[in-house]
Amino acid sequence: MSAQLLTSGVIFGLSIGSIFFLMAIGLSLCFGLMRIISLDQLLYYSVGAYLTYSLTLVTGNVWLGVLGGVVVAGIVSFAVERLIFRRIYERELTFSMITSFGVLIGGIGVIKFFWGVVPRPVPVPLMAQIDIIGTEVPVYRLIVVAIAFLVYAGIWLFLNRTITGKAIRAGIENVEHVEGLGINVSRLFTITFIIAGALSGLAGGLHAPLIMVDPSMGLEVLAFVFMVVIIGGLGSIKGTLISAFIVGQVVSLGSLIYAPLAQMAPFAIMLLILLVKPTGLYGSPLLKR
Amino acid sequence: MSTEIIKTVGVTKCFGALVAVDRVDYSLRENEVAGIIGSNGAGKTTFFNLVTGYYPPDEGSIFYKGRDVTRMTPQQRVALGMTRTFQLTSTFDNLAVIDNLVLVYFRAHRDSTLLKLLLSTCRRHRNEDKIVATLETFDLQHVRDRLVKNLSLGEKRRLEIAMAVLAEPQVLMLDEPLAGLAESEIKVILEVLGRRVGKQTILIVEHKISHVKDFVQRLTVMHEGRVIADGGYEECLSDPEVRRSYWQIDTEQEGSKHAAA
Ligand SMILES: Nc1ncnc2c1ncn2[C@@H]1O[C@H](COP(=O)(O)OP(=O)(O)OP(=O)(O)O)[C@@H](O)[C@H]1O
Ligand SMILES: [Mg+2]
Repeated sequence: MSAQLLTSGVIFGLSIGSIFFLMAIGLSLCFGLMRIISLDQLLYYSVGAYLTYSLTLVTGNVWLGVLGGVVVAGIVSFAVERLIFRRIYERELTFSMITSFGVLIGGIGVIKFFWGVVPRPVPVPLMAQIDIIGTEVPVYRLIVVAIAFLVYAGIWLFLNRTITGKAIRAGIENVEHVEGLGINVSRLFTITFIIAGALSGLAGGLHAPLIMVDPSMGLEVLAFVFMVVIIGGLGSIKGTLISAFIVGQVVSLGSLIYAPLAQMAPFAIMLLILLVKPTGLYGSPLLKR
Repeated sequence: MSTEIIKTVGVTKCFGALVAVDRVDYSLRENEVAGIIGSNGAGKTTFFNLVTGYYPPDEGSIFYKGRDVTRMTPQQRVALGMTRTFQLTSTFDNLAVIDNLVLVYFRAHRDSTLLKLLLSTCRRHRNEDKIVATLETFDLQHVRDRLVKNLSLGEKRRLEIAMAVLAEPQVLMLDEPLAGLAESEIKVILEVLGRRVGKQTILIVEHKISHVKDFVQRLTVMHEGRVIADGGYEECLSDPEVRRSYWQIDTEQEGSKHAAA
């Protein structure tokens, strides 16, 4: 493999890992705090991408489109939390999984109704290339990586510096005790769900210029995002970041070596890690119901 | 007579065939310092759980300041000013000591607008007078920034009680606050609690009667779900029914506690 191919492979892996990371945080936080498996995050990802597509058509500015995508994804997730999840927090994990899958499939139907089934292209907002050790690398991909790190820092500050963040961390440890303090847990749930939805929307918006936007785009990344969450350890943001980059690299470099490997290798790695550490890289053994 | 703050009328709780709490009538007056003792499985913790709302009673009613709270959730009762610490510790292991206190403080004096809630940083609250004073009272300054999971059992218990006190509850309910602690730590905790006497209604469950006998003004003895004696320390101990089971309580319990620790 040439050095150029390797460099661009690594950059590709970092950017795709960043997208996985942005989606996986939401899934991970929702499981950590509310003990739900929120497959509908993949819907907010598509919503973010479609809004980016449409707003880019209208305004001519992709960044405005992404911003709109984040906002609308946040609003849609807020509505879904209020109307649906609120009623099922007490239920079994499988119940939330099936319900959220229903929301995802229903949402995809709504997207098809509004935008049709034809895949839509979104222009890359920045065509510039930059030279990294002799390889031309698209600046946009680097920006995606930078945004993922910014989000990581923001989430870290939120969880470690604000009272709401501390309450969320306390809730990941033991929701009943947080409730026992008289803290409004249902509001914490809503805030967490909106953050998750908005970040999924951000992932979709940022991913849109790199792929074709189509109604079932969420289903295509589903398996990878799940792997990221499981490898990283449920409820751990740091673990999620690290595992997102691992999965990103495996997908990217794997496909350079032998295309079918890209689909398979992450599963192999996930199984290996689970064999050694069943809670994932940073999963806390505390996370039991 | 000061006012009655908690009153139960005939509360009963069964677990299957076992009657864990059996038609208990109990009342607690404002600023009273009362103790409940009883052997293992006497139903003390279950009684606490009924009063705080973690279990609904099968029969009977619970009143808080004359108001029927029998059907209220724990959260609603906490909002009315009741609180307690848990027999199992209710602190948060992965947060620093100070942040555990901030969470409690914040609940007690909360700002309800969403934006303020999202943006209020812990740092701003860390130096609140009440939090600083609480750290001092419970001798926790030196571990202020330590994660709770790295505390000793004594420090952790002090934090737990500190959290309960900081929430400014009408009734401070403590379930075995001294369990598993060394004599020196027990002294610190009793000393700290002693400062609240007269300002606060305190209800304390304890195995070892010897520890609380100078502390409580009134004692209630439970046995197999029932209250078998209620009154002053001497009065309780001279009661024939208590005498029959009392020696079990103190001698046997001391033994089993050490075995458990
Ligand atoms: N959730 C439960 N399910 C079934 N049985 C229970 C439950 N909680 C308590 N019990 C039973 O009810 C009885 C009273 O228990 P409880 O914990 O109230 O006693 P206690 O006086 O607090 O004892 P200890 O001094 O050991 O703390 C015991 O026999 C116990 O086994
Ligand atoms: Mg008990």
